[in-house]
Amino acid sequence: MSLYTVTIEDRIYKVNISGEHCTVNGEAVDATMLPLNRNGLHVLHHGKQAYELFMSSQEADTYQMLLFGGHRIVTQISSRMKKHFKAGETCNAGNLTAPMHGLVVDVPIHEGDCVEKGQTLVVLESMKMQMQLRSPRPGKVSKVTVQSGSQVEKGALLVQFD
Amino acid sequence: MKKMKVLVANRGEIAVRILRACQEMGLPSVAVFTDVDEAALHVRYANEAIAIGEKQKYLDIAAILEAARQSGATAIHPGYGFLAENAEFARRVEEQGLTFIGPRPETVAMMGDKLAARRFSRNAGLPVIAGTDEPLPLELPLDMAEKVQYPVLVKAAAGGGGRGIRLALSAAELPAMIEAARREAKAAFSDDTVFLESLVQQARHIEVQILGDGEGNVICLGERECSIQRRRQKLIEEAPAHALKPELRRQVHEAALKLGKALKYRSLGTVEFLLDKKNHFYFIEVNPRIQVEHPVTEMVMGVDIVKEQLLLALGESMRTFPEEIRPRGAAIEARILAEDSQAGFLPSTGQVLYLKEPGGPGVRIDSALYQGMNVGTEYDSLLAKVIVWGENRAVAIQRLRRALHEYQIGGLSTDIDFILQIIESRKFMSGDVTTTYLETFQPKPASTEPALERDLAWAAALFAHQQRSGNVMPEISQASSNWQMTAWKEQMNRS
Repeated sequence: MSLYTVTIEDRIYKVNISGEHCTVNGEAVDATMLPLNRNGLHVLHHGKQAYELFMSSQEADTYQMLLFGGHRIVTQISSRMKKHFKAGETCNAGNLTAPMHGLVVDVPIHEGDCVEKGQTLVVLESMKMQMQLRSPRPGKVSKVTVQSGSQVEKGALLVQFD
Repeated sequence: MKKMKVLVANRGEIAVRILRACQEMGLPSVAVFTDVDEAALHVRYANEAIAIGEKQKYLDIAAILEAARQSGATAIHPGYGFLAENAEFARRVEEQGLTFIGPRPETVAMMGDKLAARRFSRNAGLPVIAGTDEPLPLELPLDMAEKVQYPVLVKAAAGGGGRGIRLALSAAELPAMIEAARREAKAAFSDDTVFLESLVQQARHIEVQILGDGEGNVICLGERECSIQRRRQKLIEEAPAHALKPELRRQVHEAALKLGKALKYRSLGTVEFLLDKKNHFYFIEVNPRIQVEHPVTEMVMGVDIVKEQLLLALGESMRTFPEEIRPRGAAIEARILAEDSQAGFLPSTGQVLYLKEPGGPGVRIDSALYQGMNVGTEYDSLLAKVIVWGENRAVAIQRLRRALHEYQIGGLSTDIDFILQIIESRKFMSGDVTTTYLETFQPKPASTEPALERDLAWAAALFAHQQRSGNVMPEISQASSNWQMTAWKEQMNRS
């Protein structure tokens, strides 16, 4: 018997897998799922409908699902989605790193500043787009390693905070 | 028919698009590719492919000309982006005795200088947006900031692709915005000349497709509307522009033709306009090249624009089109970008693990994707375009919705769900949108029926469980059979 906690957006599902007797939040599952290939493509039978479902995992504990309202069903607005769900989120210990290669266009904070969760720390431009890199949690900025005009590589340390 | 060997100095979906036209016309073709693009799709669509080196080499005139020399290409198609609007490139291609599949170098140069383009268009009799006709001096005259009508746009004279543009809402903001526009222009175009242009509020973006033979014969292939933009990057484009009443449409076409004839325009070009609430239209710029959104015109006009461009480059005289070619039905294009709409439109990267592209009636896919492809951040995030045709706009929207639901790209995030949210919005459906629509657009988060989401949670847990235990379900194939399934179930029972 294995227990999993699956989070989809802010909803939490407790999944118990033991052979054919699976439950979600204590209720029995009557869906079936069959793999179509070895790459993560499945067909999910939910009630009378068959959904094409592609699942993949590129980061530990994070799975991407692609639900396809294929030719077997009539697609409605809610039938397609892509969800990220995480089992046991890990926190990046006080470092803000560059999610990709780019040009730093603004650093609206200074060393010693106290920042709120969600506050913009660095504005990075990449592929014609500016993105705001925000603080994942409240804290005090202990070190800023870039300034506007800096070119940074993916994974480069930008801001450190306590 | 005369022959030419066409080198396509581009990558991605547009390179594939041009190479397809070459193939249909029986013209030998050459692709160029950089180190990161060794496995790119366009490389396989050409008769020959030449390696040109590091990732930025698509911008290297000498490298492209050397590839042409090596391959014996006699003509170069620049596509869009990269060297497409580089007058120096066009000039050097022609100096080598090769055919540049595009406008004359002088036209490219003039249209690249937005101030020169404004002056020329005004002289040709086009309505031009109020603004400064000369570059802004480095030191702003003292009274200038006060005299300007706000809001005002600060634009780079060498600008393009929505870069080097800043909006100033007040005199207080103006100096900082000029500074920011100069900085961006300097970095992007090595030229920090900027000018001011009045902001046309609540505007629609309307553009007219023209084709000329360089001798003064210019035809108009209808217009497109591209008002759905995010940060001045077009996202959804359509043809025809349904906001134009017949008389206004005639005037807009007339204006584009006037400019095309004044330029003795050669090859393919787009004259861009803004249309305000009072149905006044203003010239913005000319894009002297093929555009990303050209397929919507092809769908409603029944013309293969790239082939026409190639025929003109071959020296054929301009084909006689019916007196006035009329659009049939409506076409819409959606740009499929590698970006994560849920994480602030951050560019996304990764390997395409699963791919299923839409099909069926009225659907066209211009794509550079293939399963197994690695998507990086070296180049533009445009992966593919979905173009649909319908008898009218409403049918086209329904069809686009259906096609986007079919489009499955596994392994990286795309803007497909975001585009679906836009086209399902009431405002988009009614067609009442302007270029600032997306600034305030609040997407309704996609929701799933709770019972289905519960089963999906289970499916995900089961998948994770199998991956961890290495206990993978047998796949369904001709080889697999019931006993495999039974054996797997038994194994699962024991685990």
